[in-house]
Amino acid sequence: MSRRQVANESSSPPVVALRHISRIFGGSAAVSDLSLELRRGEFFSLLGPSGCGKTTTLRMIAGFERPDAGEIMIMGRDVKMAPPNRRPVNTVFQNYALFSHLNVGENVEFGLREKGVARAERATAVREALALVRLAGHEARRIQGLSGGEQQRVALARAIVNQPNVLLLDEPLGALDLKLRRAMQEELKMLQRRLGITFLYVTHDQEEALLMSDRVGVMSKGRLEQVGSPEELYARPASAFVADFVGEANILAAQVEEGPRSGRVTLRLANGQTVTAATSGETGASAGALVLRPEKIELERGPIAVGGCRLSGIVENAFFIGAFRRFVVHLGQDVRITALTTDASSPIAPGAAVSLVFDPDQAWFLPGEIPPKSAEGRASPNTAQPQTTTGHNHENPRPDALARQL
Amino acid sequence: MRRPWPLYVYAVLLYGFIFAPILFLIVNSVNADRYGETWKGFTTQWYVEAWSSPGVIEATRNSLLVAAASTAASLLLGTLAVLGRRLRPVALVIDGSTLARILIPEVVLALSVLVFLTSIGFARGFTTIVIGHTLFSTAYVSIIVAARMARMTPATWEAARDLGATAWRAFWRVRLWEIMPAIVASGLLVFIFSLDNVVTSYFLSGSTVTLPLYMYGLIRFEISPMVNALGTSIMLVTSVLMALAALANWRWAVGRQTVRQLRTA
Repeated sequence: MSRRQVANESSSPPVVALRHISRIFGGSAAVSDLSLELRRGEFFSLLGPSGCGKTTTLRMIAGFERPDAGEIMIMGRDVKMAPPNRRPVNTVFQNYALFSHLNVGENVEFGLREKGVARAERATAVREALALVRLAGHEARRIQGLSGGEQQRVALARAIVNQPNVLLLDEPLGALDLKLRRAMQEELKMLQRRLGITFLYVTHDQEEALLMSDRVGVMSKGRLEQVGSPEELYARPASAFVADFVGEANILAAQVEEGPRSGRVTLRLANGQTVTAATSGETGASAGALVLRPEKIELERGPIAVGGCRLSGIVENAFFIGAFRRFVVHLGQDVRITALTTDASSPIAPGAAVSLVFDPDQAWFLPGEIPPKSAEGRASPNTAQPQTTTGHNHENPRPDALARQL
Repeated sequence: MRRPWPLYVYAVLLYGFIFAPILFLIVNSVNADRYGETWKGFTTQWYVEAWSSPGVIEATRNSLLVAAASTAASLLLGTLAVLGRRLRPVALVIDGSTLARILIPEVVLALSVLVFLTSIGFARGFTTIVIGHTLFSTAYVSIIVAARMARMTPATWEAARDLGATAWRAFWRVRLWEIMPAIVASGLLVFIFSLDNVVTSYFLSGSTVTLPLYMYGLIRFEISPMVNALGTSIMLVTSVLMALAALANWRWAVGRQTVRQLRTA
């Protein structure tokens, strides 16, 4: 049976079940009324900006924090009052938290000794765990002599050697440089597939969450905004926050002109142009946010606008970024859309009149949602600094740039 | 960069002022002139005389036993005080008492211990000296251990708990090893403090004579050249211990630093 089949088997009981848990720090809720179930063998990521409560959630499962309300079940057992050492979970800590007075082998062996596993058995288990993280034969090395990547792998081996029901990973790759992080992401994913252990992975890096996870839970301000597969989150975000945080998106304020009817809605943008989009909401909301992924938009020369799934505007800025070209198109009345195209042949210069073409199924309308201020009229370069996209103090620098070009 | 010459003069004078008396003591410990007025040739006579005197040997034995006992007691109590500090309301009391024992003049402290212990029926002697030394030594142990604890994060503690260790086991297998450099360093330090203590020992000694008290006796009426030999001997021993203490702390500090560098690299 493949791992994915196991993961999708809804009949098997959840490995971890969080029911309406809350945690309050000094009067403000770090986590509020959060419910979540982790399925056996899945790679689940909790994704959100710093301070969203994802680490607190992980620490409540590990037993380092006690929820102020709600219950935590692991393998069907209520563990709310159980100390960390009596929970069938292990953690890979953010800064590894290796024991520097012990060597690599002794670090990995630590949990087994606490469990009272016999010496010979321990040695075999340690050898196997180190082999899994590609550190075979490194038992006698000192922690101080290891590189960051090697320390990361020791921390991983130290946790998985105990065969936990759930492995909790708290931003484990945060301290590594970009190249090493990429390599470790693949390695982690492969390891998880091979072991079949449920992984709960906490990260603020949306790209990391998308590429590794079976399912992702997006958190904001202590609440779970959406849980779904990476594809669902990307194509059908449940809120403007998710749309903005996951991937790059144009998020525009829109008025409902017509619909929704059979999953389609006709919208009027702030500059008066109309467009058709997909939506799930059957609510009677008269306004909301339109989400348009930059790479789903094609650019065509000429100002012909035939309504429906076409918008027209003037190219304000064009950038060449290797595999892609990035265009910022001004639709008028300060409405701007970023488009990402792979067309490398004849570059469209700033000032050219263009129309934007897209499949209405790729445009997603969120009734009642308000676009994040910073995301209005621009796609957020999310990979670099996810936090900034939720900031509210960004001046739009583009008019100046345009003025300089002219 | 060249520094102005007056600085060099100043440095020479300062260090001369600090070290000249010590140098004088060392030279006279091997000077054949009994009064140390002129150089009359090299001799080991004073060393032989000192270390074959039963009084010196008895006093040295007492000093080493007092130092060992008070060091052991203060390491235990001082470390426990720091660990107990984690309980919030207790922290203020512990910190206050630690500071008080360092700030209160030793004469006052020694006198109050004397008055208190005799009033509850303790006879002056070995035990009272150990209690007196332990009293101020615990303060230094607490300060050094607390300084190290302050630089530690709960991360490794949590890791140990996460890997199945009870609080007790996590302390023995992880925390204790992390504060060990501070325990070793402070242990050596308070051992030396006890070894050369005069004031507290004097108040609490009774008939038990420690080495510094014995030396004090030697200079009471006329300065015996044995004092120079004893002084040099003590200095040698304490210097070695100090060097060990520094090394213990330094080695750990350097080890830590390399880890940090690797992590950021």
